[in-house]
Amino acid sequence: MNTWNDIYDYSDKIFRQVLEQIEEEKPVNEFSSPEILNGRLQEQLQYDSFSAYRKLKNTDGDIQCVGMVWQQELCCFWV
Amino acid sequence: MFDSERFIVELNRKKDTAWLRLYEEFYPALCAYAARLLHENAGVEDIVQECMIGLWHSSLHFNNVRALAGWLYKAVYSRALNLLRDRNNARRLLGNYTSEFIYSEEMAIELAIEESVIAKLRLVLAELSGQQRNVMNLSLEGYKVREIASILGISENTVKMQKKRAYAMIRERMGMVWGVLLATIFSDFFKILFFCYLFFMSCVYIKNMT
Repeated sequence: MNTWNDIYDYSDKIFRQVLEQIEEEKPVNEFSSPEILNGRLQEQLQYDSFSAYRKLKNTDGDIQCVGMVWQQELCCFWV
Repeated sequence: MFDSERFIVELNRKKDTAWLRLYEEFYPALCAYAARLLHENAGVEDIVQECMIGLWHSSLHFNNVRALAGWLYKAVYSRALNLLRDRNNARRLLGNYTSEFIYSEEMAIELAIEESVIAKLRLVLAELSGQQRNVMNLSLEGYKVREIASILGISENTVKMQKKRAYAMIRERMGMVWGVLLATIFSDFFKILFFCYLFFMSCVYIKNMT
């Protein structure tokens, strides 16, 4: 049985097999058939990684801003 | 070429370039994975983003990409599992006793491997030149050489040549990845061998002294 840490290496092995199968146009299982591969590829392509990354940076920026405002208010309170 | 060791070091240091690469490689795959676990697309980006934000604010350090990938897929699985359990509990409270299917850990790992394969395919296709990518995309849609030539308005020989070049490029890239992997394994092997030698020599030296 595979573990969570096997995902990356094992998928490399499967990817090589899938590549050979699509090159020879002879899919040996359902997963390596062009329809399934293309369908799954389109599923991933609908997610925009760049805008998600921007959101992360903006969230981080917001947290830093809140921190700065909080610090400033604390300083004002003491003064 | 993708340098995984450098990527991990920079990711641990929260460097922008590494985090952008992390999103490129894992974000779409994790979203598709969460959608499969939850049986719907709604809210999957929130789940994945929560995991990423959690990682960003954590002091976790990874030794390699495989540990990182394992952590990410497991984190998304745990969150999706909690959401499904909450949904099933809410359904029961409302008198609806048909619960949604929950993937076992073993099945979830298999599913993660599939998404990871698709992610590798997506990244490799993105690296191809314009015409090669078009040919490969149509090939993946199940079109034959003659049909691809007709759609793209090029000769059959050009299609065959572009396909050949695309596969050669992909194979070369994969070969490099495997080469690095083997080099890492061998370098670790020689390190162990060296320490064994040092240990053996120390034992001999101590024995001679006494």
